[in-house]
Amino acid sequence: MAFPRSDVAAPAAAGPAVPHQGGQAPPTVVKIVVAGGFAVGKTTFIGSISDIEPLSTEAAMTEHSVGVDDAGMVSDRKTSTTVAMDFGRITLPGNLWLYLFGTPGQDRFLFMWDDLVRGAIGAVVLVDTDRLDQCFPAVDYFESRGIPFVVAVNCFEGVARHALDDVRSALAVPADVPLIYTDARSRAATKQALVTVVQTAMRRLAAGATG
Amino acid sequence: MSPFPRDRAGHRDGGADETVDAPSVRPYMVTGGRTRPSGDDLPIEALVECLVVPADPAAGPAVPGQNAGPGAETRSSATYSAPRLASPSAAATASLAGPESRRILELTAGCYLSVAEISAHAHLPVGVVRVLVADLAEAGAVRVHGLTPASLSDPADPRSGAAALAVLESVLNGISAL
Repeated sequence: MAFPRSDVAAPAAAGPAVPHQGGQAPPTVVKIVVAGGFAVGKTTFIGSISDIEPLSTEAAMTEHSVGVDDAGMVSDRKTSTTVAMDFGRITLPGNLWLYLFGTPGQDRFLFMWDDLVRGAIGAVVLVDTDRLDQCFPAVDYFESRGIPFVVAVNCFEGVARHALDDVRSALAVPADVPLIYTDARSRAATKQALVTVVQTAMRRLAAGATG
Repeated sequence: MSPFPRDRAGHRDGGADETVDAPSVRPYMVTGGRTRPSGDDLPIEALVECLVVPADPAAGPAVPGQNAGPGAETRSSATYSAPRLASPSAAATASLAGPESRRILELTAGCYLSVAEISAHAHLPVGVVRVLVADLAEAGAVRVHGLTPASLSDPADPRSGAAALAVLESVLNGISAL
Protein backbone atom coordinates (compact mmCIF):
# COMPACT_ATOMS: atom_id res chain seq x y z
CA MET A 1 0.00 0.00 0.00
CA ALA A 2 1.34 3.40 -0.90
CA PHE A 3 1.48 6.23 1.59
CA PRO A 4 -0.23 9.14 -0.11
CA ARG A 5 -1.10 12.03 2.17
CA SER A 6 -4.79 11.80 1.52
CA ASP A 7 -4.78 8.19 2.62
CA VAL A 8 -3.32 8.75 6.02
CA ALA A 9 -6.32 10.23 7.74
CA ALA A 10 -8.49 7.26 6.89
CA PRO A 11 -6.52 4.14 6.10
CA ALA A 12 -8.81 1.52 4.67
CA ALA A 13 -7.13 -1.29 6.54
CA ALA A 14 -7.25 0.45 9.89
CA GLY A 15 -10.13 -1.41 11.49
CA PRO A 16 -12.03 0.02 14.42
CA ALA A 17 -10.24 2.87 16.08
CA VAL A 18 -9.47 2.86 19.76
CA PRO A 19 -11.45 5.64 21.43
CA HIS A 20 -9.06 8.39 22.37
CA GLN A 21 -9.53 10.64 25.33
CA GLY A 22 -13.21 9.85 25.50
CA GLY A 23 -13.59 9.83 21.74
CA GLN A 24 -12.31 13.38 21.42
CA ALA A 25 -11.39 14.54 17.95
CA PRO A 26 -7.69 15.00 17.32
CA PRO A 27 -6.43 18.45 18.32
CA THR A 28 -5.68 21.05 15.71
CA VAL A 29 -1.94 21.52 15.79
CA VAL A 30 -0.11 24.79 15.19
CA LYS A 31 3.45 25.81 15.88
CA ILE A 32 5.63 28.84 16.44
CA VAL A 33 9.39 28.70 15.99
CA VAL A 34 11.72 30.28 18.55
CA ALA A 35 15.03 31.28 17.02
CA GLY A 36 18.10 33.17 18.10
CA GLY A 37 21.74 32.74 18.89
CA PHE A 38 23.37 30.16 21.09
CA ALA A 39 22.40 30.46 24.78
CA VAL A 40 20.13 33.45 24.19
CA GLY A 41 17.36 31.94 26.29
CA LYS A 42 15.22 29.98 23.81
CA THR A 43 14.63 27.04 26.12
CA THR A 44 13.89 29.37 29.03
CA PHE A 45 11.43 31.23 26.84
CA ILE A 46 9.69 27.99 25.84
CA GLY A 47 9.71 26.69 29.41
CA SER A 48 8.15 29.85 30.80
CA ILE A 49 4.84 29.08 29.13
CA SER A 50 4.87 25.41 28.07
CA ASP A 51 2.38 23.00 29.64
CA ILE A 52 4.93 20.25 29.45
CA GLU A 53 8.47 20.36 30.71
CA PRO A 54 10.48 21.39 27.63
CA LEU A 55 11.59 18.29 25.79
CA SER A 56 14.70 17.81 23.80
CA THR A 57 14.90 15.73 20.72
CA GLU A 58 17.74 14.92 18.44
CA ALA A 59 18.16 15.09 14.73
CA ALA A 60 20.68 12.60 13.57
CA MET A 61 23.37 13.67 11.23
CA THR A 62 26.93 12.84 10.55
CA GLU A 63 29.16 15.79 10.33
CA HIS A 64 32.80 16.57 10.53
CA SER A 65 33.46 19.90 12.06
CA VAL A 66 36.58 21.32 13.52
CA GLY A 67 36.61 24.94 14.42
CA VAL A 68 35.13 27.54 16.67
CA ASP A 69 31.51 27.28 17.64
CA ASP A 70 29.19 30.12 18.48
CA ALA A 71 29.89 29.98 22.17
CA GLY A 72 33.42 31.03 21.35
CA MET A 73 34.80 27.66 22.39
CA VAL A 74 37.23 25.84 20.21
CA SER A 75 35.75 22.50 19.35
CA ASP A 76 37.57 19.58 17.90
CA ARG A 77 34.90 17.01 17.43
CA LYS A 78 35.30 14.48 14.73
CA THR A 79 31.66 13.62 14.47
CA SER A 80 28.64 15.37 15.85
CA THR A 81 25.81 12.95 15.35
CA THR A 82 23.10 14.75 17.21
CA VAL A 83 21.67 18.22 17.28
CA ALA A 84 19.51 19.00 20.25
CA MET A 85 16.24 20.75 19.53
CA ASP A 86 14.12 21.88 22.46
CA PHE A 87 10.39 22.26 22.30
CA GLY A 88 7.28 22.73 24.40
CA ARG A 89 3.52 22.54 24.05
CA ILE A 90 0.64 24.71 25.13
CA THR A 91 -2.93 23.44 25.21
CA LEU A 92 -5.39 26.11 24.17
CA PRO A 93 -9.19 26.15 24.35
CA GLY A 94 -10.97 24.78 21.31
CA ASN A 95 -8.89 21.61 21.16
CA LEU A 96 -5.84 23.51 19.91
CA TRP A 97 -2.28 22.47 20.59
CA LEU A 98 0.41 25.07 20.10
CA TYR A 99 3.95 23.72 19.81
CA LEU A 100 6.95 25.95 20.40
CA PHE A 101 10.06 24.70 18.65
CA GLY A 102 13.46 26.12 19.45
CA THR A 103 15.92 26.17 16.59
CA PRO A 104 19.25 24.47 17.06
CA GLY A 105 21.40 27.31 18.29
CA GLN A 106 24.31 27.23 15.93
CA ASP A 107 24.56 28.64 12.46
CA ARG A 108 25.83 25.46 10.95
CA PHE A 109 22.46 23.83 11.63
CA LEU A 110 20.56 26.39 9.57
CA PHE A 111 19.74 23.72 7.00
CA MET A 112 17.51 22.05 9.57
CA TRP A 113 15.30 25.06 9.88
CA ASP A 114 13.25 24.42 6.74
CA ASP A 115 11.91 21.35 8.43
CA LEU A 116 11.07 23.18 11.64
CA VAL A 117 9.55 26.20 9.96
CA ARG A 118 7.35 24.41 7.43
CA GLY A 119 3.76 25.20 8.34
CA ALA A 120 4.62 27.46 11.27
CA ILE A 121 2.45 30.43 12.18
CA GLY A 122 5.58 32.51 12.51
CA ALA A 123 8.70 32.96 14.55
CA VAL A 124 10.14 34.79 17.53
CA VAL A 125 13.76 35.86 17.11
CA LEU A 126 15.26 36.23 20.56
CA VAL A 127 18.02 38.79 20.72
CA ASP A 128 20.77 39.39 23.23
CA THR A 129 21.94 42.94 22.52
CA ASP A 130 25.42 42.10 23.78
CA ARG A 131 25.70 39.55 20.99
CA LEU A 132 23.54 41.15 18.36
CA ASP A 133 25.31 39.53 15.44
CA GLN A 134 24.15 36.10 16.59
CA CYS A 135 20.60 36.77 15.48
CA PHE A 136 21.54 37.93 11.98
CA PRO A 137 21.18 34.46 10.43
CA ALA A 138 17.70 34.07 11.93
CA VAL A 139 16.55 37.50 10.77
CA ASP A 140 17.94 36.85 7.29
CA TYR A 141 16.34 33.44 7.18
CA PHE A 142 12.79 34.52 8.09
CA GLU A 143 12.98 37.67 6.00
CA SER A 144 14.13 35.86 2.88
CA ARG A 145 11.38 33.26 3.19
CA GLY A 146 8.61 35.71 3.95
CA ILE A 147 7.82 34.10 7.30
CA PRO A 148 6.11 36.41 9.80
CA PHE A 149 8.48 37.11 12.68
CA VAL A 150 8.94 39.28 15.70
CA VAL A 151 12.26 40.42 17.12
CA ALA A 152 12.17 40.09 20.91
CA VAL A 153 15.04 41.68 22.81
CA ASN A 154 15.66 39.52 25.84
CA CYS A 155 16.29 41.75 28.85
CA PHE A 156 18.69 39.78 30.99
CA GLU A 157 18.28 40.75 34.64
CA GLY A 158 15.23 42.72 33.55
CA VAL A 159 17.41 45.51 32.21
CA ALA A 160 16.92 46.99 28.76
CA ARG A 161 20.34 48.16 27.77
CA HIS A 162 19.54 49.40 24.30
CA ALA A 163 16.74 51.41 22.81
CA LEU A 164 14.55 49.44 20.41
CA ASP A 165 15.14 52.03 17.68
CA ASP A 166 18.87 51.43 17.94
CA VAL A 167 18.35 47.67 17.73
CA ARG A 168 16.10 48.11 14.72
CA SER A 169 18.65 50.15 12.84
CA ALA A 170 21.45 47.79 13.83
CA LEU A 171 19.48 44.81 12.55
CA ALA A 172 18.12 46.74 9.56
CA VAL A 173 14.70 45.14 9.89
CA PRO A 174 11.82 46.87 8.12
CA ALA A 175 9.23 48.86 10.05
CA ASP A 176 6.56 46.18 9.63
CA VAL A 177 8.58 43.71 11.72
CA PRO A 178 7.54 44.20 15.34
CA LEU A 179 10.36 44.81 17.80
CA ILE A 180 9.62 44.26 21.47
CA TYR A 181 11.33 43.81 24.80
CA THR A 182 10.84 40.47 26.46
CA ASP A 183 12.04 38.53 29.47
CA ALA A 184 12.45 34.86 28.61
CA ARG A 185 11.84 33.89 32.26
CA SER A 186 8.52 35.67 32.44
CA ARG A 187 5.35 33.89 31.43
CA ALA A 188 3.58 37.22 30.87
CA ALA A 189 6.36 38.55 28.64
CA THR A 190 6.51 35.32 26.65
CA LYS A 191 2.75 35.41 26.24
CA GLN A 192 2.99 38.93 24.86
CA ALA A 193 5.71 37.90 22.41
CA LEU A 194 3.58 35.01 21.13
CA VAL A 195 0.52 37.25 20.82
CA THR A 196 2.60 39.64 18.73
CA VAL A 197 3.70 36.82 16.42
CA VAL A 198 0.14 35.65 15.85
CA GLN A 199 -1.08 39.20 15.25
CA THR A 200 1.71 39.71 12.73
CA ALA A 201 0.77 36.49 10.95
CA MET A 202 -2.89 37.52 10.89
CA ARG A 203 -2.04 40.91 9.42
CA ARG A 204 0.06 39.20 6.77
CA LEU A 205 -2.71 36.74 5.96
CA ALA A 206 -5.37 39.46 5.78
CA ALA A 207 -3.17 41.60 3.54
CA GLY A 208 -2.54 38.61 1.29
CA ALA A 209 -6.25 37.89 1.04
CA THR A 210 -7.20 41.39 -0.04
CA GLY A 211 -4.28 42.17 -2.25
CA MET B 1 31.22 -2.34 24.12
CA SER B 2 29.83 -0.77 21.03
CA PRO B 3 30.06 -2.83 17.89
CA PHE B 4 30.75 0.38 16.01
CA PRO B 5 34.27 1.66 16.57
CA ARG B 6 33.37 5.19 15.54
CA ASP B 7 30.19 5.31 17.59
CA ARG B 8 29.98 8.68 19.29
CA ALA B 9 29.67 6.96 22.64
CA GLY B 10 33.38 6.50 22.38
CA HIS B 11 34.13 10.18 21.95
CA ARG B 12 35.18 12.21 24.90
CA ASP B 13 35.21 15.70 23.51
CA GLY B 14 32.56 16.89 25.94
CA GLY B 15 30.92 19.22 23.47
CA ALA B 16 27.61 20.90 24.16
CA ASP B 17 25.77 18.55 21.85
CA GLU B 18 27.09 15.41 23.44
CA THR B 19 24.76 15.25 26.41
CA VAL B 20 22.14 13.09 24.73
CA ASP B 21 22.30 9.43 25.63
CA ALA B 22 24.04 7.54 22.89
CA PRO B 23 21.97 4.76 21.38
CA SER B 24 23.65 1.41 21.31
CA VAL B 25 22.92 0.93 17.61
CA ARG B 26 23.19 3.25 14.67
CA PRO B 27 19.82 4.97 14.28
CA TYR B 28 19.28 3.79 10.76
CA MET B 29 19.84 0.18 11.70
CA VAL B 30 16.38 0.50 13.16
CA THR B 31 14.85 1.48 9.85
CA GLY B 32 16.66 -1.03 7.68
CA GLY B 33 18.88 1.67 6.23
CA ARG B 34 16.02 3.80 5.01
CA THR B 35 16.20 7.47 5.83
CA ARG B 36 13.02 8.68 4.23
CA PRO B 37 9.43 7.64 4.87
CA SER B 38 7.75 5.96 1.95
CA GLY B 39 5.69 9.11 1.43
CA ASP B 40 6.30 12.76 2.11
CA ASP B 41 8.07 13.75 5.28
CA LEU B 42 5.77 13.90 8.23
CA PRO B 43 5.73 17.28 9.95
CA ILE B 44 7.45 17.11 13.33
CA GLU B 45 4.25 18.37 14.94
CA ALA B 46 2.02 15.80 13.22
CA LEU B 47 0.01 13.85 15.79
CA VAL B 48 0.16 10.08 15.91
CA GLU B 49 -2.75 8.02 17.14
CA CYS B 50 -2.31 4.35 17.97
CA LEU B 51 -4.99 2.15 16.42
CA VAL B 52 -3.90 -1.12 17.97
CA VAL B 53 -3.83 -2.24 21.56
CA PRO B 54 -0.44 -3.50 22.54
CA ALA B 55 -0.98 -3.35 26.28
CA ASP B 56 -4.66 -3.09 27.13
CA PRO B 57 -6.70 -5.87 25.54
CA ALA B 58 -9.89 -4.78 27.30
CA ALA B 59 -10.11 -1.56 25.33
CA GLY B 60 -10.90 -3.10 22.01
CA PRO B 61 -9.66 -5.21 19.14
CA ALA B 62 -5.97 -5.47 18.66
CA VAL B 63 -3.93 -5.62 15.50
CA PRO B 64 -6.02 -5.11 12.36
CA GLY B 65 -6.55 -8.37 10.58
CA GLN B 66 -6.32 -10.35 13.79
CA ASN B 67 -9.22 -11.37 15.93
CA ALA B 68 -9.33 -10.05 19.43
CA GLY B 69 -10.30 -13.40 20.79
CA PRO B 70 -9.60 -14.81 24.23
CA GLY B 71 -5.94 -14.99 23.29
CA ALA B 72 -5.80 -11.21 23.11
CA GLU B 73 -6.30 -10.95 26.83
CA THR B 74 -2.92 -12.39 27.49
CA ARG B 75 -1.27 -10.11 24.98
CA SER B 76 1.15 -7.64 26.45
CA SER B 77 3.42 -5.07 24.95
CA ALA B 78 6.22 -7.55 25.21
CA THR B 79 4.42 -10.04 23.02
CA TYR B 80 2.98 -7.53 20.60
CA SER B 81 3.21 -8.96 17.11
CA ALA B 82 3.90 -6.82 14.11
CA PRO B 83 0.95 -5.83 11.95
CA ARG B 84 0.91 -7.60 8.64
CA LEU B 85 1.47 -5.55 5.54
CA ALA B 86 -0.51 -6.09 2.38
CA SER B 87 2.59 -5.90 0.26
CA PRO B 88 5.44 -5.44 2.64
CA SER B 89 8.95 -4.53 1.74
CA ALA B 90 11.45 -6.53 3.72
CA ALA B 91 12.87 -3.46 5.42
CA ALA B 92 9.46 -2.18 6.48
CA THR B 93 8.48 -5.55 7.90
CA ALA B 94 11.66 -5.72 9.90
CA SER B 95 11.16 -2.24 11.35
CA LEU B 96 7.55 -3.00 12.33
CA ALA B 97 8.64 -5.94 14.41
CA GLY B 98 11.31 -3.98 16.22
CA PRO B 99 11.23 -2.71 19.79
CA GLU B 100 11.27 0.88 18.50
CA SER B 101 7.94 0.42 16.74
CA ARG B 102 6.49 -1.21 19.85
CA ARG B 103 7.69 1.75 21.86
CA ILE B 104 5.93 4.15 19.47
CA LEU B 105 2.70 2.18 19.87
CA GLU B 106 3.06 2.22 23.65
CA LEU B 107 3.68 5.96 23.69
CA THR B 108 0.70 6.73 21.49
CA ALA B 109 -1.71 4.31 23.15
CA GLY B 110 -4.59 6.31 24.54
CA CYS B 111 -3.28 9.74 23.63
CA TYR B 112 -2.26 11.82 20.68
CA LEU B 113 1.44 12.48 20.53
CA SER B 114 3.50 14.45 18.05
CA VAL B 115 6.39 13.03 16.07
CA ALA B 116 8.70 15.36 18.01
CA GLU B 117 7.42 14.13 21.38
CA ILE B 118 7.73 10.51 20.34
CA SER B 119 11.29 11.25 19.30
CA ALA B 120 12.09 12.83 22.66
CA HIS B 121 10.42 10.15 24.79
CA ALA B 122 11.76 7.22 22.80
CA HIS B 123 15.26 8.73 22.45
CA LEU B 124 15.11 8.25 18.71
CA PRO B 125 16.10 10.83 16.12
CA VAL B 126 13.21 12.58 14.42
CA GLY B 127 14.16 11.07 11.08
CA VAL B 128 13.93 7.55 12.45
CA VAL B 129 10.55 8.22 14.05
CA ARG B 130 9.27 9.55 10.73
CA VAL B 131 10.23 6.38 8.93
CA LEU B 132 8.77 4.10 11.59
CA VAL B 133 5.54 6.09 11.91
CA ALA B 134 5.11 6.05 8.14
CA ASP B 135 5.52 2.25 8.21
CA LEU B 136 3.06 1.88 11.07
CA ALA B 137 0.54 4.11 9.30
CA GLU B 138 0.92 2.08 6.16
CA ALA B 139 0.26 -1.07 8.13
CA GLY B 140 -2.83 0.48 9.72
CA ALA B 141 -1.35 0.41 13.23
CA VAL B 142 -1.39 4.18 13.68
CA ARG B 143 -3.20 7.10 12.17
CA VAL B 144 -1.49 10.44 11.55
CA HIS B 145 -3.26 13.77 12.04
CA GLY B 146 -2.27 17.31 11.22
CA LEU B 147 -0.49 16.70 7.94
CA THR B 148 -1.80 19.95 6.53
CA PRO B 149 -0.83 23.07 8.49
CA ALA B 150 -4.03 24.53 9.90
CA SER B 151 -2.55 28.00 10.16
CA LEU B 152 -1.52 28.39 6.55
CA SER B 153 -3.72 29.19 3.60
CA ASP B 154 -3.52 27.12 0.49
CA PRO B 155 -3.27 29.41 -2.56
CA ALA B 156 -5.17 26.83 -4.59
CA ASP B 157 -8.16 26.96 -2.27
CA PRO B 158 -9.83 30.38 -1.98
CA ARG B 159 -11.70 29.37 1.20
CA SER B 160 -8.58 28.29 3.05
CA GLY B 161 -7.50 31.87 3.77
CA ALA B 162 -10.57 32.43 5.91
CA ALA B 163 -10.11 29.06 7.57
CA ALA B 164 -6.49 29.81 8.41
CA LEU B 165 -7.46 33.21 9.76
CA ALA B 166 -10.07 31.57 11.98
CA VAL B 167 -7.46 29.19 13.39
CA LEU B 168 -5.08 32.08 14.07
CA GLU B 169 -7.89 33.96 15.78
CA SER B 170 -8.50 30.99 18.08
CA VAL B 171 -4.78 30.75 18.83
CA LEU B 172 -4.64 34.48 19.57
CA ASN B 173 -7.63 34.32 21.89
CA GLY B 174 -6.26 31.21 23.55
CA ILE B 175 -2.85 32.69 24.26
CA SER B 176 -4.37 35.96 25.44
CA ALA B 177 -6.52 34.08 27.93
CA LEU B 178 -3.60 32.14 29.44
